[in-house]
Amino acid sequence: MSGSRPDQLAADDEPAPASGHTPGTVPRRRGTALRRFTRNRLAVAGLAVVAVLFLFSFVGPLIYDTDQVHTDLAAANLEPGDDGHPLGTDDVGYDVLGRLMVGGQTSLVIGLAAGALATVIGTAWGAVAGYLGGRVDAVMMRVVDAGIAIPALFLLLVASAITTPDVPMMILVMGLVSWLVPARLVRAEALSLKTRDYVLTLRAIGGSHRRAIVRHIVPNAVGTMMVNATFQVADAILLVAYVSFLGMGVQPPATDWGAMLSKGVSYAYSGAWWLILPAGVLIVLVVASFNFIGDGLRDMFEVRGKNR
Amino acid sequence: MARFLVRRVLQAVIVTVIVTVIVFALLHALPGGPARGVLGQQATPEQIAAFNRAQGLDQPIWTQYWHYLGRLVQGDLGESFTLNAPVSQLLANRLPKTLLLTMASTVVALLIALPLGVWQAARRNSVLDYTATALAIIVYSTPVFFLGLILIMVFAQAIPLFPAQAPQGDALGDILADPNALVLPVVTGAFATVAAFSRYMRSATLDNLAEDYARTARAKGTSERRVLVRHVVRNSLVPVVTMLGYYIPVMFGGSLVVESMFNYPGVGFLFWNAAQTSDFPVLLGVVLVIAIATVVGSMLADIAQALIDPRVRSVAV
Amino acid sequence: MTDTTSPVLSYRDFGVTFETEQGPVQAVRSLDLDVFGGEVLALVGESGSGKTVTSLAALGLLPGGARVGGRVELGGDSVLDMAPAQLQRLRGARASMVFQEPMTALNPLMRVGDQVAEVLTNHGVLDRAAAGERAVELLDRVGIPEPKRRVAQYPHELSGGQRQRVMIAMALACDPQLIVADEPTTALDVTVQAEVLELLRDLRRDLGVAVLLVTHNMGVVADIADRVAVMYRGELIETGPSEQVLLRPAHDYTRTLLQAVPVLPRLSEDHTGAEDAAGAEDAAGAAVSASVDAGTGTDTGTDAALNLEAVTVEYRGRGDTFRAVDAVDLRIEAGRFVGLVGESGSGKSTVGRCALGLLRPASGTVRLFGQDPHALRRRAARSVRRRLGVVLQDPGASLDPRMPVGECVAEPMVVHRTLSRRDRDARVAELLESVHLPASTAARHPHELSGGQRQRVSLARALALDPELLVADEPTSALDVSVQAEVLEVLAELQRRYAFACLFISHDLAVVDSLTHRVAVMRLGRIVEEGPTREVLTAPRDPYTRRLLTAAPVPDPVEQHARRQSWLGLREAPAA
Repeated sequence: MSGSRPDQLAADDEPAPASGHTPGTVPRRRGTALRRFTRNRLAVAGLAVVAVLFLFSFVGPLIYDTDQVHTDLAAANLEPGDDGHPLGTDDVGYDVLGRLMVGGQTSLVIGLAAGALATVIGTAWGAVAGYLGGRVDAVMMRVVDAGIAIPALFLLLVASAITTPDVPMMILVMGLVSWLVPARLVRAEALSLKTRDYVLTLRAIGGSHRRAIVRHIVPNAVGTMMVNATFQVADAILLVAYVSFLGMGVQPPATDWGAMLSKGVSYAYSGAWWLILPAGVLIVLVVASFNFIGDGLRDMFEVRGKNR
Repeated sequence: MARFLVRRVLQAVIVTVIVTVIVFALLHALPGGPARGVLGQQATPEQIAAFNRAQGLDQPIWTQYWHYLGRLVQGDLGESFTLNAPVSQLLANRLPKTLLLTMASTVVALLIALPLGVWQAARRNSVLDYTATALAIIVYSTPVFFLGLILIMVFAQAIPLFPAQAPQGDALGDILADPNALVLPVVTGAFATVAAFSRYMRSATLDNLAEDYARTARAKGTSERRVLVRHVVRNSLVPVVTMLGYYIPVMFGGSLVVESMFNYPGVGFLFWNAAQTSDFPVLLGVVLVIAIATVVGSMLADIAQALIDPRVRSVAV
Repeated sequence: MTDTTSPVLSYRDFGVTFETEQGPVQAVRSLDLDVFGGEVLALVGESGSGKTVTSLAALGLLPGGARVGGRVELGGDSVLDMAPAQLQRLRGARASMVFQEPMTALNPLMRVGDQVAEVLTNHGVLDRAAAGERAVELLDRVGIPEPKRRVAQYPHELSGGQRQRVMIAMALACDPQLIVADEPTTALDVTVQAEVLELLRDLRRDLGVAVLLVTHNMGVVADIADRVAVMYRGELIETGPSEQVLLRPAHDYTRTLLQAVPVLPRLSEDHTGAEDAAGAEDAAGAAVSASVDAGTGTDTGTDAALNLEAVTVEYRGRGDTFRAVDAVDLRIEAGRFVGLVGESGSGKSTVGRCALGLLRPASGTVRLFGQDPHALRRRAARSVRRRLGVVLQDPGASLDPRMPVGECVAEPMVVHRTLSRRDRDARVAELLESVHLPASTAARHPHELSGGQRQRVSLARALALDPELLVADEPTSALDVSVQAEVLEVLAELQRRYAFACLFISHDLAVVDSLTHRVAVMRLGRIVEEGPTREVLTAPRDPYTRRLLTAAPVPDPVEQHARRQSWLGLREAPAA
């Protein structure tokens, strides 16, 4: 991945003659970065959808109050519209609309926190490996290779089989299995940044490694990190859904969108669409939105790369 | 090339050793340690103590790891306590079927994704390109199981074209004997790969179209079509093959879900059942074997890349 | 050479505008220009002058976002009105192109023979088999040894000069009327450049093809062009025969441009060249006054600013070890400017890295102010490094793009914890002014500055702690000549004021001449010659130095003709 910003050209430089590329005359300004983001309509739409889903999950229950702790078998399997349940009820009598709100909280919290955790660990690991280089780098990256070789979903299921999965545990485990890709990306970035003239200059006049990493490498890798962090959140939300779908996620009465789908499957085949469609659509919406936002951020930071 | 091969194989061996360390660590992270992992959750403390003595679990951790490695080398992955069979035997039976499924999915997906990506790059920034990109992101964002559910509801229930159940059977031949039943699992698994790789291919093709050599080709009077087909596509495949190596773990993750959904008798389904019953020897055996398969797969991807790219080949010489 | 016949290529009222996020940018304005059969027309100008855009239009290769006006005719046909299929038939057949970067201009995954043959099959001149055989002949024609073996090789197996010859072979394949060459030798070393120019001259003579040569290098113009067209900010400001434009420029801009080109002193005919050695050291360095008193110049002092003894650097990789620097001795006395010159791969930058203590030599000693930076404890090493200033090559990467200019300049003070925050700001302003930048520059970001401004900021940063030794690695090689002249002038002025010593690394002998007291010439990791600058440059002892000097073109067509003759006499078998 070529992560680095194509180096800035002064305003008076010649337009790049290569076709298929915008001319390199454009001087970089803060304002244009934001414009590059907002020009990506899907990214803006994604931002809006994420905001709405947050409101839905966290503010929604304040307005639309339902009991999501106690089962009510008397009101089980109601169709949408029945008895004041706009989206019906599930097999143990939970109101589906209210349950979507509670489930959204779990999905969003785990996704965001795990994405953030993975980004922090990955950045630190990758920056150190890439900056130090040589043997240290080789060893650190072999560890990453080994970690990547074990598919995250398999590790998550083993972890769920070992302990009882709850939200903090899920965040921790997901963070611990998903830092590898950001580590790889940041390492590649650090590897190229550390040979930049400004880092060499700093080293030559006696600046510390610490200053090189903290003041030069990390700030310049921020674009790559932000873009990847956004994709990481999307992946984490998907992963939560997978684990829950396979029945190894958070345990009732807690739930998330994946778990709702999982429980609804057997009823869905007999026509209870409301048990799976809303939850499924919400997962797709939120994950796609984060991916769209990541795309927009990539335009904004002009991170060119093959990671997706 | 020989030097490159040696180095790459050595690297894979090192990674494999680290993988065994991770799995070994997981084994010791089990509640009650490996003893409970092997004997099951119902084992009594006396049984565990006896087991520990017998297995040398009272010895220093490095000795234990050494013994563990020794058993692995002999193909001994322990015994499943729910299926009453050696894990290695279970895997030997299941792994080919999983490879069949993932490979079929991947081949189908790449046959669609790569031309699609090139096509999008050729029509970059058109409405069709944008639509395809947006669709790809949405498909990529759709959980495999949700897609599978929809496919089942449409193509197995509403219009009963294909069975909702994967082909069953013990031997690989039984699976192949029922290709109709393979359609839905293969297609379900292929969707996300199409989405991901059409995007990689599009971006790699775009990068290469902007390269100097593409401009040179145009300046020679090469048609735009020929610039794409003869010059750009091959160059674009180089990074895409690398991505394919990175993508292998994702494919195995996908197969876990697909197999569980369609009751496909592969490693993923085995793993899922083992997770339900806390059958740790099976779980850890599968993790180990899948990880090794991934290491080998990404090694093959790197070698394939060297075969495409003469620069890598000669750097390696 | 100006034929009275109709021109091969002609521009009439030609203009190009690019749509950018900041609105339209006019790259070329109402340009009228003719290129006639058999002539070399040099289109010269600095970056942003629009010369490349103009040349690309000849083959209809302008990028998609360009709006074009006026007419461009090739052999009487309007290029701008052609349909894609017509353009394809024209490109490579009637007019062909040689690009600047031979490293990237060839398809890395395709054998060079196939790439040459493709031109022929594209235009249906020959079938595949015949085209393959013709490719061998073409490679032979452009002076590539063992063409039969080379056709089956991939671009990375060829040197830069050979790749550019392959490009020329492709350009020739269909006997075009016109070859457009966009900075064809800019990425090459001077000795290779001389070879490639010689080839172009040859081809023009034998084949009578017209060449539109785009270049920024006035020496190249003097060497090969019949006529010159000078562009400035999108406009054609002067056209005429080379001798007239280069020796008696009519336009002010052309004059300043020519004055900015650093010139080599005339080579003395006497090859032993010891006669004016006496006092040559101080007489040299036209720009740098030897402000140090004569006594410091002698090498009796033990604490030279920099002393390298038998420094050897090896890179391990790909199986064998490569000796990048081989037993190099180099000494810089306090207050002296020493130039280190060599072509790419000579190891000059590696020596620079050793001098900066960024690289530990495999053997030999590096002494900065009498001390070995690698042997010192952290504290002591820091206090040695404090006395260093650094300016590196790439103006795009010399400053952290995320840091405001003020912070960049203040960084050495922060690292060494000198001055309070407020005093630092004052010092930054003072430093910026000393490199002729307004103090308000401190608040701007590097991307808002031009390349020359950025290198001046680097210089200000390097001087922040009053260094005793400045290491400058090709600080101006990425800049236009007029900008380069400014930066060098600032450097000379600062040296007069602060009297620091300097290791000045460059590939350009003329730049070194104007600036340094002594010069060392490197080749393949070794120093082949070292001495007072004027002496080395006018009366070189080493044959390589002599070849290097004669290969570097000067912007005077008459003198360049003489230099070329002496270079032809000296050159090795053309292997590049």
